[in-house]
Formats: sequence, structure tokens, C-alpha cells
Amino acid sequence: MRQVLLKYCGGCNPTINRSKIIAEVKRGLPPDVELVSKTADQVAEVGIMMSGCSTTCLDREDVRKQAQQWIVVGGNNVNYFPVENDQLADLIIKKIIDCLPPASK
Amino acid sequence: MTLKTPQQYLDDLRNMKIDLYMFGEKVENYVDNPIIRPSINAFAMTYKLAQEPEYEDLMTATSSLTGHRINRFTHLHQSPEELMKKVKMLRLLGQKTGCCFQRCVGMDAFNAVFNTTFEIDAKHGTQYHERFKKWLEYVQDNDLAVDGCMTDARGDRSKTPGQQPDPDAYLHVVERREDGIVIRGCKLHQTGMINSHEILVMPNNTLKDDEKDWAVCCAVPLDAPGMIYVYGRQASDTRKLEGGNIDIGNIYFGGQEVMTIFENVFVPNDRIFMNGETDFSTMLVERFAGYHRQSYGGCKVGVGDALIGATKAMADYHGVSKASAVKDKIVEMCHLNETLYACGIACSAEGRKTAAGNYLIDLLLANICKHNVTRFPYEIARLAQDIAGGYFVTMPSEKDFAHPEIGPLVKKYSTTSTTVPAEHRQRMGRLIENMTQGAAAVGYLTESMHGAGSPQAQRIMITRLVDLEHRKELAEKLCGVKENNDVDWK
Repeated sequence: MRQVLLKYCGGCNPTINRSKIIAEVKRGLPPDVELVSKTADQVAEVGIMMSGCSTTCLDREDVRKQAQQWIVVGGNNVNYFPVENDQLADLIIKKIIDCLPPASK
Repeated sequence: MTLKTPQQYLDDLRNMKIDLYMFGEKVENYVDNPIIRPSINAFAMTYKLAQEPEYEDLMTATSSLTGHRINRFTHLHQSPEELMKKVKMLRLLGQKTGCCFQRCVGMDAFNAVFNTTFEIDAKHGTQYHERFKKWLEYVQDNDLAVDGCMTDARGDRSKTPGQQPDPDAYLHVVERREDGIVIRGCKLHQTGMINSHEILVMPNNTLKDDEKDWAVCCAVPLDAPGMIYVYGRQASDTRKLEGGNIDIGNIYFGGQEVMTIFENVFVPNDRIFMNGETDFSTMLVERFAGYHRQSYGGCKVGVGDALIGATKAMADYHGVSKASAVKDKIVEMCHLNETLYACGIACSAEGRKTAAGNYLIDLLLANICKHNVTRFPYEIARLAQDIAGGYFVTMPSEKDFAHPEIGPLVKKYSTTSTTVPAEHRQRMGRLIENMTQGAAAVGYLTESMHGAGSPQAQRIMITRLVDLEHRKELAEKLCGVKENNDVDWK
């Protein structure tokens, strides 16, 4: 399985439904990709920072060093660009597939 | 040179040849005009304090573009800490000037245009962001004063820019040439306009697809051909022509508002940062307004500090400062003022990085900040007038105090204590008058109401930014209307 590290913010005042969006992402990913809270590798290939609001408090050094590439979600922003709510899950899926190395045959 | 001295700043203004009108006459030497000079002095304090070691931590910053030490008023905020430093800098300047010092609007425009142009380019493949960075480097390295310029004349408020009988009601592009554009229109309420070197023009509001001519953002030198300025009146402004220095209240500083007319002004391509991208006008307006709504959580607090100080002084002069009712009212003034500061700090602390790299305040909290600013300074001013008593609006003029025959009688009956000269009460009363209903009330009260958007503009943003359905679900889970999966233990 190809693993993607998933980190959540504390969820104090979310403007998006984080768990609902992640559930949609899981449904849309290829079957060989899984979202995990801890990867087998010390530093993950790809990670998702799932912050509930635009403050994006997860984006800090101690989290950054846990993966080589990050998809940064902060409320209705992905990698700091604004995104419509109903397009968030699809865009996250697309970015995961773009970031991950191809599946080994 | 990246930090100008106040003297260099004044020399720049003296060298500028602008088309300025006031009281129906053309003004040639506006730097030494007694009505205008206090506003220039207030602006000059933004240069003065940047030179002082005890203020440089707030007043200066390291440029993210060049690495040079620059005035924070030309800076792109690089962290939540820097957003907070901005608020603290504005409070400091409000304390030092007791009025609007006019330079924040340019700083707020820089930050909004910087991150919006980045996102325009990402979507449309344009080159605005690099152009803007180049222009901003010029501004930073020459420590220029820039007026962020948004509010149009707006004509019939029930119509959009494209529906107006007079298309000039909103500034727009009237001609597109190979080497640039020609713009026409008028921006109202322009704070500190003629105390600036440059103008950063922005669109006023959300635009429809067919309103491309109004989607324009560009930089214009103050002395560009076609620019006309008409100076705005303020309450008691002609007291500055009377020759005294008591009745004007604030004897050094004041604000400035200018009607700014763009009469077919040419803008070359390298100064154009938006030209028809209607899909980004809302983003630019909201971000600029957000930064500016944060600003009020600093500047108005500083002016409030000065007004609270004046109120305390009057209570002391009158011998009532130990009365519990007076103490309680001053505590209330402080509570209101510090609440505004808390909002300014909060929207900064919750600020976030943008795709372009600079930091944006939390838009919801910035709107909450400004919404409180539309109310609290009025209550602070009411309490100041309550404690000051009525004499600050009924006392004779300073010429009567100085009159050889009636002067001694006027002083005798204006005296409250053997230890307080009548002139102290006279000066402090005039300062409270100046700030709560005189020339400085333009900045402290009406600008608090309408500057950076009137109260309803904040309520619209609050409606958009608060997720009420989320809050409804919280309640429904608590009372059993909806299943609560959080409680999964026996």
C-alpha cells in the first residue's frame, strides 16, 4: 500500500467539516493508497495538513518535517489558494495522486 | 536610502507640483498652509519615529523583497507576529499624534495587491505580480508615502458601475493603448492623499463579467498630468487661521481628507496591476478592507489613549478624580479601548500565510474588530464629554483670555484650583473638543464609522464568514435532536 500521512488541527472553530471531507477523499483514492496517522517511514513521502479554518495552525516546523511534500488544507484553501467547498475533496485527491510516485508493478 | 528623515519627506512634498484647490482657490504652497500643515506633521511622525532607536523595533522591518531595513509602512507582513507589530505601531502613532496619521492605507493596499496579483497571475497567466514587486521595491527603497485609493464617487447606489448613467461614477479605463491605459473617475474620502508621493488605485467593489473597464488596479504619481485635488473641510478648520495655538486643541497634528479627481490620466503598462480581471475584484476589495479593518484596532486605540488621558487630566483639574462615579467611567473608557486593541491583536494572531507568501489577517476577526470600532469610540467620546463638563464648548476664545481688560476676569472665573492654571483647563478642554467634535473627530468618530467600510459592510462579511449550520448542529447534538457519536462510552 502507498501511504499518505494525515494530520488534523485541533478543530476549535472549523469552517469546513474536516472528517466529512476526508471520508470523501478516502472514497475517491485509488485502492492502493491509504491515509494513515503514522507512516512506516520516518518521513512520509506525502502528507495532508487538515486545518479546519484559514488560520492553518498546523503549518509549522514540527509538522512540516514529518513529510517531504504537503497538501496544506486550511478551511476553504488548498496550498493557500481559495477553493469552493464542494471542490475541496476532489482537489485534495488530485494533489495526492500528483504527489505520489507511481504504483510499483 | 531606505529610511527618509521627516525633513527629506517635507522637502519631497515641497518639490511636488500638484493641482490643489481649497475654499474655491488654487493652493500653491500647501506644505506651509496652516490648515494643511498639521496633517503633514502627523504623516511626518511615521518618518520621525522610524529614526528613533526606542521605536525602531515597531517602526522598521526587514524587506522580504530586498533584505533592506525599511519603514514598516512599506512592508509586506511575513508572520502573525509582524501583523501584531503593525497594530502596535499604529497604536503608538495614535498616541503620539492624537489623530489620523494617514499612512496605514497604503500599507494595507500593498499587502492586498501583493497577494491578489499573485493569484490573478496563477489563474490568468498575467504578469501583474512581478510588475507590482518591482514598483514596491521602488517604494520601499525610497521610503515613499502611498495613498491606497478605493472609494469611488459611486453615483446612484442602487446601480452597479456598469449601470450608472454617468460611467465616471466609478473610476474606469476609458482608453486601452499599446503602451498603457487612460483612466477617468473620482475617489472620495482620500485620507492623506496630498501628503503622499504615489497613489495605488484599486476597484471599489464586486464587478460583473461585463464590467471589465472598472476592474483596474494601478499606481499613479501624485503629480501625474490630469490629477486634480480638492481639499475636504473639517469642523473648526478655520481656527487654524486665527493665529493662536490654544483654540485649535491639538496644536501640532491633524488629519486630511481629499476629493481626488482622475481626469483622463495615462498609466503606463509597468504600473498596471489589474486590467479587466473582474473575477478578482471581490478578493482585492475584501483583503484590502480586511487589512484596513485590522488597522483600526491599533490607530483608534492610540487616539483613544490620548483622549482617556485628556479626560483624566480634566477630572484632576476639576478636583473630581477621586469620585467613584468618575473613576468608574474612566475604567469603562479603558475597557472599551482595550477591547478594540484585543480585536486588533486577535485578528493578527490568527493571521494566515497567502499563496504569495505574505500574511493575511483573519478576515472574520478583522471585521469584528472594525464593527466594534464603529461603536466604541463614540461611547468613549461621550464619557469624555460627560467627565469634562460643558465648559469645553462654552468657554470664551483664547483672545478673550488674553484681553488686557476682560482677560483677568475670564481667567478668574475659569479657575478651578489654586494649583491648576486656568490655561491648563482651557487647553485640555480644547483638546477634548478637537477630538470629540472638532477637526480630529473626523478621524476619531466619523472615520471610525465609515472608514474601511460602514457598519453594514462588516455585518455582510460576518454573515458570510460565520458557519451558522455548524453552530446549529452543535446545539442539536447537545439536546438530542441529532445523534452524538462523541459520547460512545457506557
